[in-house]
Amino acid sequence: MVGKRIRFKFSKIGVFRYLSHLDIINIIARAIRRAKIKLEYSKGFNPKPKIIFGPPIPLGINSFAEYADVNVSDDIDTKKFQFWLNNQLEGRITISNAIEIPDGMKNLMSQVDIVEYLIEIEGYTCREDSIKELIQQAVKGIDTEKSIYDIKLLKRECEYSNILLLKVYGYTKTLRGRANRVFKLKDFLESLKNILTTKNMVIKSVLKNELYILKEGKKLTPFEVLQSFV
Amino acid sequence: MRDIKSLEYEKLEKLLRGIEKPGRYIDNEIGTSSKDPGKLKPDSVIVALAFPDIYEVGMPNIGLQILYDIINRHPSFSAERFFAPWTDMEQQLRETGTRLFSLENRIFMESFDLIGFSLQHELLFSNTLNMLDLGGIRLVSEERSVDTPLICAGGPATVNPAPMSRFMDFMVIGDGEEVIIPVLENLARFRTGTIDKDSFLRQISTMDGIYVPAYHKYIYSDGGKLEKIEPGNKTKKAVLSDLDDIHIVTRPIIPNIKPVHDRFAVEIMRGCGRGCRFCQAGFTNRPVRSRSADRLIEQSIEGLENTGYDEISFLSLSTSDYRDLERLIRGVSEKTEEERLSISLPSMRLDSFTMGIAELVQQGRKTGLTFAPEAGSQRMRDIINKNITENDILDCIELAFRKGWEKIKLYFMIGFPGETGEDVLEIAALIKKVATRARNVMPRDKVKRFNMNVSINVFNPKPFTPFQWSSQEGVGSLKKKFKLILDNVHQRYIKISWSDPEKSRLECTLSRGDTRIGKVIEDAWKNGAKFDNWADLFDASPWIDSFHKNDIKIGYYTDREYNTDEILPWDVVDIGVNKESLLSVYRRVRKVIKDKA
Repeated sequence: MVGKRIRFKFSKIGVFRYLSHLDIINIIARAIRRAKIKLEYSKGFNPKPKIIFGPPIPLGINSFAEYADVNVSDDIDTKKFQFWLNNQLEGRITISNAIEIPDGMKNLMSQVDIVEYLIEIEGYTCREDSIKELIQQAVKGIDTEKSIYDIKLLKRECEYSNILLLKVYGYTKTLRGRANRVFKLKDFLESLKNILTTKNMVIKSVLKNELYILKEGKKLTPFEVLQSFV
Repeated sequence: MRDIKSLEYEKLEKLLRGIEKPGRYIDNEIGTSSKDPGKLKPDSVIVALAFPDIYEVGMPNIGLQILYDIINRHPSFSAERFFAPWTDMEQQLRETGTRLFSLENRIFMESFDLIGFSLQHELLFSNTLNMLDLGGIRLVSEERSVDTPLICAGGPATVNPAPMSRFMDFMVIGDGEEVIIPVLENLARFRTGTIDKDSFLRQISTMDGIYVPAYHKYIYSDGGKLEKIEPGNKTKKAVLSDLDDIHIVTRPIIPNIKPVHDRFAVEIMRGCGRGCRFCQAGFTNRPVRSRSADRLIEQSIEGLENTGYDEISFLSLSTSDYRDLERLIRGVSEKTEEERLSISLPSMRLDSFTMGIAELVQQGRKTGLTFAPEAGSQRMRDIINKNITENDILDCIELAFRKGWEKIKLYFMIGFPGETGEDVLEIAALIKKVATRARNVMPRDKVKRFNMNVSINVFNPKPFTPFQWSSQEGVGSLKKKFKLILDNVHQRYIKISWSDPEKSRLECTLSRGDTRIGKVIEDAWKNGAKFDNWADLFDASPWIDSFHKNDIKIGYYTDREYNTDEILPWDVVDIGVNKESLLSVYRRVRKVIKDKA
């Protein structure tokens, strides 16, 4: 078998964020076929192309961090794969990188532990420590503490901005030895929104920014983890 | 510069908040080809292709894809798409006071030169009015000013143009492919002021396939009968004489969200040579025309490569009657690089499904198998001219299940003229015989996976069929017949569903209606009728209220046998089938039924 596994990353922004996980899978599978890249199929009564995507996000959320693992039966260069696929997607979705997956590595879905969201909050006027309290309330309000790996509040660099940037690292699955829960973005945003409203603040935007795999206490992106694999 | 108004992108984003399936409204598919409205010349024409059902239902329609392709290939014409917004989107539009806009460039309906509705069946009439209303366009054609878009309709439900005449400036009857460009050329002359609206309509009304309601007057007697249609001339349906003249759309728009049929569709044949007496399409699409297999193979491969679909369907009214079907399937499977190509063959005849076809199709991913015996008893199948025997049916089932199929769908109809309880019991018996035969010949390990879906439809006596004078059976007695089938089939692997007889009654009324029905449709829409073809949204009450209000009895259109000498609302159309020959068949059938009774 000359085939190989390729991991690729793409963005889902603009109107394309209104397409579901399944829709995107179909769009990419058709583009791969148009590019005449041979896919490997699952066995069984209803063979499906072997493409595994990362954890889905709610409809309507922008994402810079969509990943997929695909099994191709050709020995195709990853740069060519990326170029051909982008050609067929005609700018609708853009593959930003593609790297071969070494043999023996687990697939994306079973690897990913953490998803990073960037949340812009507008209307900030009070002191920073009180906003921290508000966010703590939001987290506690829906009992999501155990689903958050880390949360960081960053003030935008621009001096006069009334926009705050919140980084939330949520778990995508329950991990052994951590007694954590799976982070639910919708619930978190709902709780955050309710609390912010009382202080005349609003959520301006939400972006899925990166996926991480926890390895020896470090956060590695799905590409970094490929390089770390020996 | 033309004044074309469109919705800003930011407003679209706002509208989509909280919408169940926003993917319906975002355009940006591969394969769209509308022109940039900013670059349109003063003599260009922009056309709205409007499908009065949701995106997922409308997108697989090949008629829409064909017209879109023809118009957008023309250097000075542009077409954009409209679908019926789902109820949540409609609410957003109405609450925000946003008018209906096209998918491609979000152009408001009112900025188009022509809006063409695709009327695939009569239960889309209410949605058609709803879309016009959402577009801010007056429904009744004579109330519209000269600078509003012209409204037209085509598709199977326009063969009787009378019911929707009230709203349409013109209707296209028959094949639209060769009609559309001459119409648009004339429209351009009207829009640039070379000719006036009346001259435009006069001009196109001389073409085959164009019916202009304003030029026909339906006169009713005091007793409520249709007495006369003036003038007496008939509109001849448009016929595309050689299908090979029109290239298959090999770069169709590929939907971003999953449509009801997610595959590359190829029309291999138009018309059907069988003559089943209940089948309107069989009569209105004559003569039978086929595409050549060599060109089909070539264009199918081209289409599969352009789209990346892994499924192809060969469409026609009776696909297994296409003489080169095996060669076609073999040709496409051999030449495609897609190893997993699955082939879907809707509308297979039970007597022309061959071993060869079964073997070829089963190599790919097996799609479901669908057959339509239509009736249970031989007597009934003879009456409707479905010329197959029980042995044909069972042999065919055996062949398919030996070849590895595990599921099957069967279509039947109840309510045919002369149908008795015995005939209905024979439907139940046939269902069971099919299941038994299939399970007996299946590989043993597969038997537990066997399942069978049976769909029972209600017979609708439709215009231009030999049954056009027949009555439709009442709702109460249809319900009893359906129950009779249910009571006699208990196997857990057989699922039986049926169409709502109230809905069929409405469909019958709308398909055989005259010009007075227009007001009824309008009032029913005002009462809230829409998505009448959707089982969970259909509500008979707005229609019933509307018939009452207009003092029209539904039964006038459904419950009675028509007199063979009465003027029929669809007599204004020459569909290509002689009324006398329909009548002689009708008389023959009536004699057969009487002789039995």
